[in-house]
Amino acid sequence: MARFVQVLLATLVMVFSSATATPYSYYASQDAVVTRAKSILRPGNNAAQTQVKGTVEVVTIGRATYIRVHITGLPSNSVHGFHIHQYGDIITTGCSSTGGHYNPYRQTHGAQYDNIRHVGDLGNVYADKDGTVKVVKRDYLISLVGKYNVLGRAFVLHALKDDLGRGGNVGSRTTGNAGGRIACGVIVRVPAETKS
Amino acid sequence: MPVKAVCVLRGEKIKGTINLCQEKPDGECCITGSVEGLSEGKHGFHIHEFGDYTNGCTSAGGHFNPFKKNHGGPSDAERHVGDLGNIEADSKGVAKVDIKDSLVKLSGEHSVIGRSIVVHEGVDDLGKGGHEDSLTTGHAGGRLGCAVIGISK
Repeated sequence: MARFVQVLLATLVMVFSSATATPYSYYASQDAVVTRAKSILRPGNNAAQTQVKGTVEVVTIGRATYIRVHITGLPSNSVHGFHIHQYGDIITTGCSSTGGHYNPYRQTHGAQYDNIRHVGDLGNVYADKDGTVKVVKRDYLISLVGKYNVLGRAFVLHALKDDLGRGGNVGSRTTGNAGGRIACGVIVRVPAETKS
Repeated sequence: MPVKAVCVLRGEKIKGTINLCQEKPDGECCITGSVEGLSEGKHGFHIHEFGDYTNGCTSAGGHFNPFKKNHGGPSDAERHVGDLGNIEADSKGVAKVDIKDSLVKLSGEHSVIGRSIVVHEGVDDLGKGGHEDSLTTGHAGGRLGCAVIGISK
């Protein structure tokens, strides 16, 4: 147990430190299977939002998945729904070709920490006064491995705040009333030792 | 459960849409569609290891090769999983793609989802050209365009 806690803490420190890319050999030495992916967020169809861009790095270590989000170019102090959508096509009709929230268990929409939620429900991200989002989300439902892995699907950043299924209408229970899609990116495989 | 994927190519000169499908986990994968904007003739057509374009198509890495084989043609026993040979453009620069492949998978340990398709400038010699890079890249030259293989409807 002590070793487990030690490994977990060390892993968390490595994942959260943004100064350097973590060498793959570090994880390998901890006997945990590590899978990495990345998503480059590009602006959606709305021309007014073309300055929005971002990078999402995803790492699955055992059962936990860490999602490190870095987005710039948003309005000051704004709040935006942030989800994994079903399809990995951001070109055919822009962000709308990603379909709805990734929901393989056919649940209603919820918050990230609700028991009833879509797999893709990551709640909101918060931009600071400079319009920048920097956050790491940890999730146990989203994974890069297994039958319902999210590789080849897409992150979508919405124009409005996700009401987390608490808005009291039909839209709330499907999309969280988070509005248009201002940026999106396919979740793709990257080398094990990628530079961030 | 059938799996479907799509790969939308948007290069500087070329564009195209490739659809992939797999009915059963151990079944063949269909790879169909078209690419336009090519020079007339054959162009190497491969699945590369990564779906990353941080530094353009170069970031896609090498051919997807989980079994550590030499480069070959799609009907060879000795080939990369990603070795799909060539596509051939007509005089209008359009290449039709209609491939069925038994090594390419859309699910499981060696799934190509989240990886990428790369269209090359030159002809893939299928490992038989005798060039220094015939057994690694098929001597197919630069990368005209690349696109991520994502899940689709």
